[in-house]
Amino acid sequence: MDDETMTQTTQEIAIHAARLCQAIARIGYEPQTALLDIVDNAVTANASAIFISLYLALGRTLKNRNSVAMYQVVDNGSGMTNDEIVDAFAFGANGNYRPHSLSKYGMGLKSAGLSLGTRIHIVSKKNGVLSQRHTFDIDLVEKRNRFIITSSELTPEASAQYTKLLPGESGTVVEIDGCAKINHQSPSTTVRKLEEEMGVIYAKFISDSNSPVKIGIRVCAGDDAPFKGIAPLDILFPNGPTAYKTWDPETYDFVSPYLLLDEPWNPDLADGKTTSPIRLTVVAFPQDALGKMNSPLPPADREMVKRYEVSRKNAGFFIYRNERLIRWGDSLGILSKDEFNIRIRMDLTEEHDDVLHVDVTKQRFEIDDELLGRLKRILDDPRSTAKCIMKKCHELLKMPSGREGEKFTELSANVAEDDPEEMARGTPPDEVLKRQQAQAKESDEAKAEKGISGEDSSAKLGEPAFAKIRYTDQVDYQRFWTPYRDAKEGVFVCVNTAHPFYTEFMKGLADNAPERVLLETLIFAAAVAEINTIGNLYHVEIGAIKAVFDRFHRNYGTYLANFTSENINLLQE
Amino acid sequence: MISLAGIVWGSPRTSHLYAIFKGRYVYFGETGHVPPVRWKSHLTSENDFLGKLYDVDIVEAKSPSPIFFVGIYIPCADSEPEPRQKIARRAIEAELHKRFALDPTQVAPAAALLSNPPPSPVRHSFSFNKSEVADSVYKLIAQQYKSWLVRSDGITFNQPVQGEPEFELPTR
Repeated sequence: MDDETMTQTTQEIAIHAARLCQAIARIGYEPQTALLDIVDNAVTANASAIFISLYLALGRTLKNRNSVAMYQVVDNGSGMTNDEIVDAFAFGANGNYRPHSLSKYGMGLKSAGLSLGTRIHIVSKKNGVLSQRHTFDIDLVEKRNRFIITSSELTPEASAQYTKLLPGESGTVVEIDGCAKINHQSPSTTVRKLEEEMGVIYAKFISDSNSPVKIGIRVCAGDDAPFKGIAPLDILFPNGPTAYKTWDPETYDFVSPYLLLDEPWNPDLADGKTTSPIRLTVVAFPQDALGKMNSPLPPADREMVKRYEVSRKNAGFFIYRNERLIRWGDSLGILSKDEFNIRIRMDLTEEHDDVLHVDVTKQRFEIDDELLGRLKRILDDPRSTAKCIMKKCHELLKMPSGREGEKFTELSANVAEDDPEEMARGTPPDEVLKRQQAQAKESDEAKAEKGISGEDSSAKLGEPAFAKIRYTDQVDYQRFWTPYRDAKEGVFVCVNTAHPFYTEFMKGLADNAPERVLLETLIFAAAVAEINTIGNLYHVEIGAIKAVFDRFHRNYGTYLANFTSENINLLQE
Repeated sequence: MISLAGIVWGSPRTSHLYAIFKGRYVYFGETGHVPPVRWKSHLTSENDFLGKLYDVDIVEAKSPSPIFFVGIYIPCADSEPEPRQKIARRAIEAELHKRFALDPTQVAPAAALLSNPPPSPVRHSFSFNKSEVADSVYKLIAQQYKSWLVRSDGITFNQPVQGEPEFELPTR
């Protein structure tokens, strides 16, 4: 039936002020997202400096839950008159946002503020005139069951205090207290998340060359703590440390971020409707493990990879609305949990709010199945490439780097090579010194004759190290390894690269793989034991000791060769 | 009266991308032959264009609305060594699907995709920029399709003779 054919009356419906306030306080804010919503208002007001303070309650620490007495956000934006503050407290306030504003529904101050505490106070300054202190008190609203605010003239002390906070011609102080009544995470978590994320969320505003926004944060425990500045960080690293590269599987460098897509997406809406294009940028990063200690990359490249902080948390869709990050690392149901080296930036404006159903907190939105399907198709190729990059990194990590033994040398740098039997003894007997000199001579001769100096193979960038494990074919046949003692640097071992145990097993292990390093440790420990025994067991004739060890090595090498031939495909299996 | 129903030329055994349009549906594909060789099966096979259209929209599949075919010669794929030519064509085809997903309005009113994009051979590099080639191919397809829409405006496509549907898969 047509509505117009029916007789109609209208009647006002009741608004239960207190219950509505309770409801909007619970639309899904965490303390840090609530504070960010208030910071958004400051950015919208063209502030160039925004300072966030968390004041701890007496006797509470950063680690206690519910320990904030007051949150305060101070900005030097355009400020408000008394009337404008009252208007800002209205539900659905200030609907006339300029294009690309961070604000949307005019609910942020109330919903974010009431999620943090029970009272929101605002003092503002406009054209050099300080306003009254206006307070939205949920207890008072509940008592009167009406939307009301209280306005108080500033005392001289309060006036001096707010003038100190707002030294310029304009600005606003938002304070929220009554926080103890609301169950919150510990302030250390709030501050950590803000410190970690604000630089990314407001990167464009902080780094704006024309009007940069400075953001500071602090926690005060009865003191006047200094603010910690937030540095901008574009999580897609468009400005370095290395420039984006274009994907070519033949020339992948394991260090640079690779730009896999940078295109406008024209979401085709139903019924021929269109909206402005959404910019899509996809960048793939090297695997995080390449920035870690076991990485085969040179230290400078390792540091570079580490800076990208590639992780599951930092992967996925980074969705920006009017240049402000509103969604961090969402999978959108498209990406799997293993795709953690891909970052996809989607740039929305307020034009897309309805298409993508952006909610009041501007943290969540929904993309319908049709658009999601299209987005998935667009990302097919970049996702495959990112997976390919991940695979290449994985293969590199498992591949010998040509610097065999370097990892063990690094890890054993501070490990003593003392003979435990000799540690309590004073000056070594002459025979021991004589034997040690003979060992040093043998070592020098071996280095000269067999070309096993090892210095080149172990040289690290800027700090050449004495190679403790040296891979060479200049080891006697049947021996798997031979130990030497350098006069200055101590024991080193030559591992026989012609021995089948090496060619079939060890050669295939990455130079820095834990398996390889542990095998090297076993070999080196035996070498230290042999050198110390020969050198220090002076009451046994040296010829006899050498004969024992010679027999030992032949048995050792033969057993390993036999084991190898019996289990030739062990690693392939 | 009469009207032009299309002209096709091309060398046998050369690389092409093509698009097929009917109503709001579009299909992209590749072939290593002059396109009509491949197009035949799009009108006869259950797994190709018309077969898929039957599955998703039988009304449109049976309607007398015309089918538009356009083929684009891509010599860059033929410049690759022979064993890689198919891979090269598939790489451009995958990119072509991406172009459509990024901006389907270029081929409006076609909006519904019937073809499945092939997996992109990201482990291969080519002597050409697949993204640029696909972009040119997409623009040329869109241009040809739109100019055909204008040319065919006003042409009446008669209902098929009763009992002899114009497009009917042999197996149905």
